[in-house]
Amino acid sequence: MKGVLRVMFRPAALRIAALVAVLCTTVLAAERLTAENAWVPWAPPAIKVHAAYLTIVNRSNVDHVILGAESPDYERVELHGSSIRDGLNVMRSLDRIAVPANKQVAFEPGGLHVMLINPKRTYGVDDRIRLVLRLGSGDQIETSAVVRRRAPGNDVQHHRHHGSHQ
Amino acid sequence: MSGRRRVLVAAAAGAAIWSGVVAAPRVNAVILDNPSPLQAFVLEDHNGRRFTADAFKGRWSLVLAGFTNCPDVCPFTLANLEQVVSELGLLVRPDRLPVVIFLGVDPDRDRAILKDYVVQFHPDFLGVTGAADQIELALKSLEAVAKRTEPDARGGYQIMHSAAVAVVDPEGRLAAKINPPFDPAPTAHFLADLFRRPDNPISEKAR
Repeated sequence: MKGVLRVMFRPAALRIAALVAVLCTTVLAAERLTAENAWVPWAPPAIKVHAAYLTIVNRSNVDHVILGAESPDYERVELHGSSIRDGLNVMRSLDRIAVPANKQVAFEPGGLHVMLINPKRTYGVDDRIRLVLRLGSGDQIETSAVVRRRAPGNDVQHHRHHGSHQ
Repeated sequence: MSGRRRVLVAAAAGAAIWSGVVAAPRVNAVILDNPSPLQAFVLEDHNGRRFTADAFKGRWSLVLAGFTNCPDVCPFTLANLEQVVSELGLLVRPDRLPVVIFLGVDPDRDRAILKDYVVQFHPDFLGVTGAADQIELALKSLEAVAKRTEPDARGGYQIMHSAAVAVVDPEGRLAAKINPPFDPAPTAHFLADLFRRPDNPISEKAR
């Protein structure tokens, strides 16, 4: 019985310690690395592949790296980069995106985007999409993206081109 | 005047685009000295109607290749073209306004949702797609290409496709190609100038 008790108690203690550690690091990470102005262009219900755009701001002196993204509102989420190569639009899946110390990385049309696949319901304008970005440090950033119609000024003007995300 | 092309850079200097300097809005386009007639192909539009090379006759068209599983560049380009046509409305007569045509190069996934995908940007935009060999013929005439990427572990794939928008004249000939970015105002001015060129079909009729 003694052995069984040990097995039962020790994992619980570890779990509490781990939880405390996770809570602390999440708070620290949130102070230093933020996801801002996240939005998803509205698409008709028949369209099942969407994109999220946002800006990741690293206000710390530490380099960070984004390793993946998730959303409880979609079946699958991938990090993608669009670029133009030899006159062709090329979209590729990325497994890490660097966010250097004191820099920001913009996810914007024609460049980086969070690809959202198979929405779990239909989203309308002003709805919120939950996003979680996983960092190399083990922390994560949570944000919510607002569903918006594309309009002049929110993407047309800010297009960077010719594959600046190599 | 053989088949040579003239590289035309409207507005700001083209050099600035390539050196990465932030330049004023510009258009990076090529006008064909001798517009080339489109070869025959048979596709279907998003209403299920037959769409052949002849369908281009009688009006200007802006054609881009893309696929409906493309969430970033294709919608972004379509949104830009909507703005371009809107700006053009202030510059040219309504009968010279171009129709925007989206050539879906991923027919298996495009067919069912092509209309929804295209008309979200403007009710007059037209989606067309069809059999793979007919899409190839249309792409060739438009001097465009599309290539499927190797499937990933889940069987998912992307399609690499020409970034340029083809400008087809009212006689069904490829007249110009516009490369990104499609900044609305300068692109509209570029097109208005192109439509007014004295050797263009509708311009002559209008005289």
